Amino acid sequence: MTTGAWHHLRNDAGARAAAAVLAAAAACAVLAPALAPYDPTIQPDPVALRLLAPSWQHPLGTDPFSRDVFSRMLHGARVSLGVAAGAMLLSVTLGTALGALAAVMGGWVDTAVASLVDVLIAMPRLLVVIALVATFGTLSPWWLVVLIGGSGWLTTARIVRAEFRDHLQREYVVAAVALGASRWRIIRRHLLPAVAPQIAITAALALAAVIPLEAALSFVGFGIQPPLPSWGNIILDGVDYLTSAWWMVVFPVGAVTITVGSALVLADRMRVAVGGEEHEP
Amino acid sequence: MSPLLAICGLSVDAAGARGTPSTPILRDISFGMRPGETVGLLGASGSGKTSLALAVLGLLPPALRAHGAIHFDGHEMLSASRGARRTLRGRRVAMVFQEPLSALNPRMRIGAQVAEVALAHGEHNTQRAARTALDMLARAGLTDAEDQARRLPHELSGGERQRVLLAMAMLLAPALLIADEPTSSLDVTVQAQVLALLRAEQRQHGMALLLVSHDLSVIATTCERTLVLHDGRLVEDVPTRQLIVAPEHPQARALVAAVRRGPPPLEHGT
Repeated sequence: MTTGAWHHLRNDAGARAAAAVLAAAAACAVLAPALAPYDPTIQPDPVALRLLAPSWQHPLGTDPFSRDVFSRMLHGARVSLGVAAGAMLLSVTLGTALGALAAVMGGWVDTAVASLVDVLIAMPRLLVVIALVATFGTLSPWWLVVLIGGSGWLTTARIVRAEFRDHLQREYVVAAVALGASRWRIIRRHLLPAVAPQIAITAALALAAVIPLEAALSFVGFGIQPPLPSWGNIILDGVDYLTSAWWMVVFPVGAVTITVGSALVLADRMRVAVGGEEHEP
Repeated sequence: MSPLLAICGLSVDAAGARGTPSTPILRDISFGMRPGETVGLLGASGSGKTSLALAVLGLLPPALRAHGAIHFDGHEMLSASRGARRTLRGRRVAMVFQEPLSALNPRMRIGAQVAEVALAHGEHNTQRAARTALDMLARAGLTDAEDQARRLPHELSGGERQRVLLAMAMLLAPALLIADEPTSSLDVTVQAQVLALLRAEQRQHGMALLLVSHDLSVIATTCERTLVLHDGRLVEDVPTRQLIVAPEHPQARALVAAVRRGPPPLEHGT
């Protein structure tokens, strides 16, 4: 990101708050084993300790199998945010690579990528992933990253292609070509640095899109499989007890909402910071 | 002496949309340049000057189609492979663009931009490239080159930016430099300095210079020979002196007359 936009972003209260929330969520995920008071999969007493309301012993209550919900939420953050971060990285990398290739190569490569985007964008993502999971049986978290990430690169590719095409026509890029820079050099030294802010924005948007997607998949039973916790399957465990044990649903739904909201706010503030810079002389 | 550049029957057309006829941009252009020669290319805006310059570099936009032949330095530029043309650009033929601010990457420091040219042509040692760049910037007359090299383009003056562009173009001592209106955005003193710099570089390395301009006074002080381009056709190819004394083509006559007359006088009292 350019220094002006970066400076703008650092002084933006909304951006700082959103970044702080995401950092806290990431810290919970990384430090889950140290922070969690209980083993997230242990079922100490499924009769006496089942569905306990929040208390000092169990800050977020227990689930129908007597497991501590707070510990499951922390370990669930590890799984949910890990899958989301991996899928986001994969989709942004793939989208940047394909968008760059389409813009720089042009011709049939451009047509092929554009048609692929048009076809894939018409497909409902959740249903496609469910169909694939149904075909291949239950999947490990790694496959989930590949499926969610591999189906999420379309927006990034479209934005990177459009931005690259715009910059390719600018005189400084033509001048660099006129002095013998190769296409790879043009991409690496001129285009990627110029488009980095837009890529960062699509990364934040991708994160906001993949967190609920993983939660939804796990909620319908096609994502993370129990006993491994994820925010989505914690909701699934609690959904039958919604009227009697609200804590099983409210906390994981709240966690998804807050992290997605923060990612969206961050994307929005980045857009303002980058846009504000372009109006400067 | 064998020619450095020989253009034979070059025509460039903008391909029309399906069904519409294509628009000619250059029509049957032929001329040559010897090593070390200084040639002016004179023409009004829209006469095809820039397209001709881009054609020599093999940089015409894909929507433009070129026919004919451009022999440069033993290569046929129109049919040469992409890789062959790329290695010629910057090393054997270089171009300086019209507007120095937009021809520099706004995000890259001056020193790095000049070093880029060496790095694009097989220099792998970044420190050595940076040193070469600094030497060249100093030779191009940038004061405090070491200090200026750390700046971004918008922190420099117009004249300094033009020197940076020339440093980039002349870094690898090309055999031909195409300069597209290199002085049109500069005031007269800086203009003279930039032209002097070009001439010094020519004397030292025997570089040929194709000076593209709409300004006859710039061409008259610099070029032995002048080409006049009008409406995509080459209408004059004569020694500059002869063009000024006895221009033949009406368009050439108009250009010469415009310089003799000078700018229209200001109304008294304004």
